[in-house]
Parts: sequence; structure tokens; C-alpha cells
Amino acid sequence: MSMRILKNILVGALALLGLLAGEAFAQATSATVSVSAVVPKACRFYSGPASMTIEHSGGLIDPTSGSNATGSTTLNYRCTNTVLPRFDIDSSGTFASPKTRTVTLTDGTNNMPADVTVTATSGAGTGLGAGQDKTATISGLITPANFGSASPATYSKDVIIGIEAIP
Amino acid sequence: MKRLRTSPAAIRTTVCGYALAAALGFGTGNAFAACQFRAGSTTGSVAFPVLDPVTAPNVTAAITLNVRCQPAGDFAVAQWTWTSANGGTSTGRLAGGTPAYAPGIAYAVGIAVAGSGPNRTLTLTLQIAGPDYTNASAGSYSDVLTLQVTP
Repeated sequence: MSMRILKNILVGALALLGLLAGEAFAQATSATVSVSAVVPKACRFYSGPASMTIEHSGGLIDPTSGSNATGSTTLNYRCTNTVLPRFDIDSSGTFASPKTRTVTLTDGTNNMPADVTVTATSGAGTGLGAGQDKTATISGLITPANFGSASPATYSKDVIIGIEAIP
Repeated sequence: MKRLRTSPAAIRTTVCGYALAAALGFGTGNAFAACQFRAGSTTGSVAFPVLDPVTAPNVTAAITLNVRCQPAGDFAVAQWTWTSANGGTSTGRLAGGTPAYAPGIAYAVGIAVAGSGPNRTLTLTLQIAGPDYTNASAGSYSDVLTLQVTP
């Protein structure tokens, strides 16, 4: 066998060995996997409906009073941990915290304006799991200018309160 | 200077030596690492679906890796283990959130190998229970799992 043939055999053997070794080294006894997840911001009410009476006392507005008639109630909310909520009233399209909007109470014939305000009394959420309820206070106010000349009647309105997480 | 020439006999010896080394190389590889993650399966990434804290369902994510045991019978005795960079070996743990969520988000890890012959697929299945993230702070979370096979 000539030297050239032997050299070719040697080169071929080395190449084969390299390929085989390469396949072997390309494999490994360990692997790493990156794992990821995202938790979004969210807020939801967890109570309601609620009712609120705007009054001076005894469920009545005193038309001779010079002071505002007021009322309040609460709703429970939960938010993603550390996330603050903001509110909308009757789908105005603008969320805020606190949020105030003038709504119109009616007896079916006569109207009376009232200011409704929603405040996140408890602040930021601590999660949306059980037991994480926070308190939102809904307050109502009617000024003497608005009830002073109102006809005697029961005035009411259903108000829809929206909630979302502050981005 | 006189140049030394390799004799044909010496060349033959060398060729045989490499051939023997190649054969031993396989034998040695099998002896110390019967099962391995195949090329292209030594790294990977997997993302959970968005963790909605409102409804907080159990969520699952999975990734498939290619593995090889030679001889194939070693799949029966192969031990597949894992460690979590943020956790341990009983549960993985995702770290992150803004601000950082101190407990992290725990997740379960399952390993299943399927197929036949020396080349098979390893499916890594990860699951987070709803209660483990419903109170987590918002933001991105991550971990690195290291999988190990013996022998």
C-alpha cells in the first residue's frame, strides 16, 4: 500500500472521528429552559349593588335647610397587588380616582341634580384572592340650590360605577 | 538537516490507533453518559399564558426536547432531574413583579419521555395553581430550569 493511500485513509479516519466526536459533543447531559410569565394589572368590584340615600336626616331632604344633603355607601373591590384603581360613573368614558360626576335624579316628571363621587378609600390592592377586599366609598351630595325649589317627591336614579386598574 | 520520513508501518499503526480510539470513544461515551439531550435541545424557552389574577385558573405550559439513550434500553434506568434557579427541586419558582413579589410564583414541574428506540422526546410540563398567583403583583416573572439526566 502506498504512502498516499495510507495518508488518505488516515485523513478519512480522522474526519470520521471528528464527525462522530462532534455528534457526541453536541449532545449534553443537561439542558436549560427559560420560563416566563406575566401578571397583568386588574381591578374588579366584589360587592353590589348598593343603595345610597341622600338626606339631611330620617331619609328626607329638608327643603328649608341651608346645608347640603349628603349620603354615602360602600362597595368592595380588589386589585392586583400594589395596583391602584380608578373609577367611572355612568360610562362617561373617563376614569379617575376620585371620580365625580353630576347625575340627574328624577321622580318621573321632575329632575334634581346630584353630585356623585367614588373614592378608593383603601388605596392599592393586595391581590384578587379571597379576603383581599378593599373599600370604595360612594358619596352623594345635593346642594340647597338644587333641592330648595324641588317638588315633593321621591327622586332616584340607578348609577353604574365602573372600575379599572390605573395603568 | 536530514528529514525524517514516516515509514508505512508507522502510518498503519497510527491509523489503527485512531480507529481504536474512535471505537473506544463511543464505548466510553456510552459508559459515562448513556442518555443525553440532543443537539438543539440543550436550551429552550417556555412562556405561560397570561396569568389573569381575576379568574385565576390553573395554567399549564410545556416544551418538548429531543433526547437520546444509547443503548435505548437505558431509558428504563435514566434519571431525569431538574433544579429551579429561584426555587429548588420540589417546586420551581418564578421571580419578578413590580414591585418584586416576595414569595414568587411557585409552579409544578413534570417530566415525561415518550417514543421508542434510542431517540425520544422529553416533554417538560409546568403548571401554576391559581391561588399561587392571584395575589401576585403585576409584571413579568422568570426562572431558569436546569434539567439533568443520569447515567
